[in-house]
Amino acid sequence: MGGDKPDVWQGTLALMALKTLEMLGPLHGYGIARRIEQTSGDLLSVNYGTLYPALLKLEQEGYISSEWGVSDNNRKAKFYNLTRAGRKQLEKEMREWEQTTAIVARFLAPREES
Amino acid sequence: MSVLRAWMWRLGGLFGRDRRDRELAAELEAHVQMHIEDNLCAGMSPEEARRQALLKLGGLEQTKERYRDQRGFVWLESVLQDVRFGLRMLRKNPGFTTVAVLTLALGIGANTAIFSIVDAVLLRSLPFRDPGRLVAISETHPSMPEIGAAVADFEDWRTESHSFEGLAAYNLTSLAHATLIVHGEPQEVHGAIISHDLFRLLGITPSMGFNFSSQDDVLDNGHVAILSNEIWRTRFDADPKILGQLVTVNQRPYTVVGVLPAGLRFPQDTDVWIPLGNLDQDDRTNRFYHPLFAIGRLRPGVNLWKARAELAGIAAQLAGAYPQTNHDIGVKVEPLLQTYLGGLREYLLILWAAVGLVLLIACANVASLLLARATSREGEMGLRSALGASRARLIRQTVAEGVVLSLLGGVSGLLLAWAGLFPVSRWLPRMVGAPILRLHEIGIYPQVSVVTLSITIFAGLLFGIVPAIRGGRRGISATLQPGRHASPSARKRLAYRVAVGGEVALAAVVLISAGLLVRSLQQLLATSVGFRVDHLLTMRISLPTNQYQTTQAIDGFYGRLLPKLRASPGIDSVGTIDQTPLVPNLGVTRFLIDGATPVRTGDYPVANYRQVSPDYFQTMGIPLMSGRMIREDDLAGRDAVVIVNRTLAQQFFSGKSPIGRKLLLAVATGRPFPVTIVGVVGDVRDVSIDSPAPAEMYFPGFGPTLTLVVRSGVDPSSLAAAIRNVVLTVDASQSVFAVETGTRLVDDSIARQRVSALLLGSFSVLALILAIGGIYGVTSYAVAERTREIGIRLALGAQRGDVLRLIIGEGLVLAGIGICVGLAVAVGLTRLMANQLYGVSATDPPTYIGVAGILVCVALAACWIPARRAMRVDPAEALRYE
Repeated sequence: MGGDKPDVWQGTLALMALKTLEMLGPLHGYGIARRIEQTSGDLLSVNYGTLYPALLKLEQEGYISSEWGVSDNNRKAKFYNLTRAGRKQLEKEMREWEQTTAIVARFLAPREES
Repeated sequence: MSVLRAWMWRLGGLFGRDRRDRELAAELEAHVQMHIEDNLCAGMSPEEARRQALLKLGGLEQTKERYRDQRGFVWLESVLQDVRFGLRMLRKNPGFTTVAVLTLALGIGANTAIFSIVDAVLLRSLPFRDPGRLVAISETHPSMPEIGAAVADFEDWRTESHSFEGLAAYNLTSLAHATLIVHGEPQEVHGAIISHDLFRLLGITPSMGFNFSSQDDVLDNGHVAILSNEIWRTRFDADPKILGQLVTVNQRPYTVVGVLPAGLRFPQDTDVWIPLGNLDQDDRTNRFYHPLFAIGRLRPGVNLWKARAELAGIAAQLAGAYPQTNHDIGVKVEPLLQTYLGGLREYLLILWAAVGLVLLIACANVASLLLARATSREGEMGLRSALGASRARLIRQTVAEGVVLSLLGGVSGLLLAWAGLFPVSRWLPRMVGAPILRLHEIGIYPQVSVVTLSITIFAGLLFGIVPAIRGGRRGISATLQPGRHASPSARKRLAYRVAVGGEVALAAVVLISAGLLVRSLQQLLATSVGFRVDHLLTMRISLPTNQYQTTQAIDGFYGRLLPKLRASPGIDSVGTIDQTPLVPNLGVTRFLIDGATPVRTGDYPVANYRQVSPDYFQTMGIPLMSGRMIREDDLAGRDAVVIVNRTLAQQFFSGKSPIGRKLLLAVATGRPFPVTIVGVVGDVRDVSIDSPAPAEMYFPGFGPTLTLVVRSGVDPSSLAAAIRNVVLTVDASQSVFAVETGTRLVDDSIARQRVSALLLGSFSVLALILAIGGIYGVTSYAVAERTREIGIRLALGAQRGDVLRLIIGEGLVLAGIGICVGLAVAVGLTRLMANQLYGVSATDPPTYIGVAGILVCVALAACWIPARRAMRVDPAEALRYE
């Protein structure tokens, strides 16, 4: 992705990160990035570097928390965890996404009444 | 809520930066390692694994950058970085920094000091509530610009006008020298009769007791008094039970009802106030007498002009209703502040303008220094530009440096001002002479600091921007080439020229202003005051009226005193007068010329009225122009003869001798009586040297309070003790006070002009120093940059003398242009200070020529050393740095 709309992209990235944490529990940055790629069926090529500022923003806003822990390979890494506020925000954003999708679908679908 | 959290986080991100940087580095390192491991598992080689991992991350540094962008307030961090950088640069060039900071400190310090004075004197001097709304109201007559108001007129204003929240009045003449008896001892004090609401209007509440009540204003009522805090402490020993006690003022008893807070002695060193009920009956009822000065508080929404117009209308009505007394009586309304300060306001503004110019010169100096230095850093700028610094960033850096520099200068300036205010506030009282000003409160107030700092920062921004904008212009290749001594561009040369020419012009304006004031002072000093000032001693004597109740008693006292004094050693002659020249006096009277064409009642001329002893004129050295002096036998039949001054004779007798003609006095009472003119004496200056002498008439006689004048052959001040003793031999309970020499009398009256010439003179010296420094600095830099050009010239056969002439010639041409511009500007500006000048016009040629000469010499001196340096350039050396 050419990085032409960083803000929008970052917003979506943040949402995907939240969802990942909700599904997989506490995870480090690399893991989140990998998981996002997998879930999108490798259709999305994420610049891993853009994830970290997004994670920081989520942490600043209080949606995730971080602490240093040990990964599976006994490596020291920073793990992120979803907070309660983050859970609520996730639900809210998911609802909004669904709404947006439904409206757009109605516009794009062929007219049934004539 | 989350947004707030994010902001707080970011704010916190400004601190503990290093720790977070390390944390991020660790996190990213872990990320990369994990990715590498996965890649290895996928079968890549170690190098490929690492490369792919880093590629996928999108660049380590970029990631860190973006992370940091999110983390803190980036712009603030970089500004702090710029500031630190600026400080480092300044530290690296201590010589430059010192000169620049000192220059700024001088300019800003002088500015701050003067602004503090202006602030304290102009803005804070009246200790009243909301003084800006107070106005002083008096009446006018064609022959006298300001007289008091008649009581009935004042009351008409009160009832008829709508412009004022309140109108109050005071009278100074009745109690100007009142005798206060304290514990049986007489004491001369200044007193005032005031309307009951005067203090309330001014916002003054007695610290003990009460204000007067309206009942006290009723005629023959009001036997009550308010005392000043000062006299309560000194003469009544701060007696806590003072309220209700009786004090005797001019033989009448008054009950003390209040004591004022400290520092309030309105209107003029007044210590005792009694209400309007005590005003003399004639004064109250007859519109012919004008005993009151009024003060009004403008209603909100009413401005000075409205009030003036309204009162003028009322005055016109009164003139129609009472043509005998009020014809030609006008009203004068002025802001109270102005009445006190008079021309001081204008004068202080002139001072401030001068200081502003000095500051401009200082700024020009520093700006040109910075500009010159920017050249030497052009290479560095070019390099940094190549390495990725944006132009905006470079500009920001130089601006930060300029701001830091001027902050340093500003703070030093504040310190300088603070130190310098001590001696200045000691001079100020002599200069001003107005008693109410809170001169002891002059200090650096917060507003002054704020203004100073704003000027400083603005200057700093200016200094930084100009060289920055110019500096980053040249391309990288141009700046990185080894041509370090390339000749300065045409634009740079122009900037130098403007700097030098501008400084000279500004210095010229300051110098001319100072020069005009100095010449004005010279003229003042050279003006004859009308009497001999040297070897003259004056002092006041006040005879208590309870001991000296009749004219005969007073005459007797002086009849005994004067001969004794005349016989004393060292004393040449002695005289008395109720008030000497050059001191404000309040004795005026209307009169008529007997036998002249009749004049309408309202148009009666007015003249100063004085009582003198026979030898007065002789003692003072006032020449007799025609007729005779007052003789001893005139004293007995007083009021029958009068001596007039030349102005009166010329104004009313148009050149013909007035000897033998009669003047009519007491023209208002309906029982006028004639006096015969027996002599004409020379004029003396009345209130101040720079106003012409008014018409004066002198009568023989002594009053209860008068000034004794003594002419001696020896140093007059040595006689003070001897004279006191002689007075004691005549009356053991009498004392003299306010002893002054003639020279001191004159000096005090021109104290302000003297101090202003001194101050402005100091500023022009400062301006000169700064200008010399500036020209020298700029020329030095210019010469240094033209080394190559000079080398070429020398190599091509120019003589060293030619080079010298070249540099000096250029400097002189610049100075010449600056002088012309400065003179032209001065012609326009000095018109504004024309009222401060005496005897010199604003375009006084000797001053202008003198200043031009000085500046030419200064420019010459400043260019000399750099020119000699240019002369000694070794062409081989200069050309070597190709």
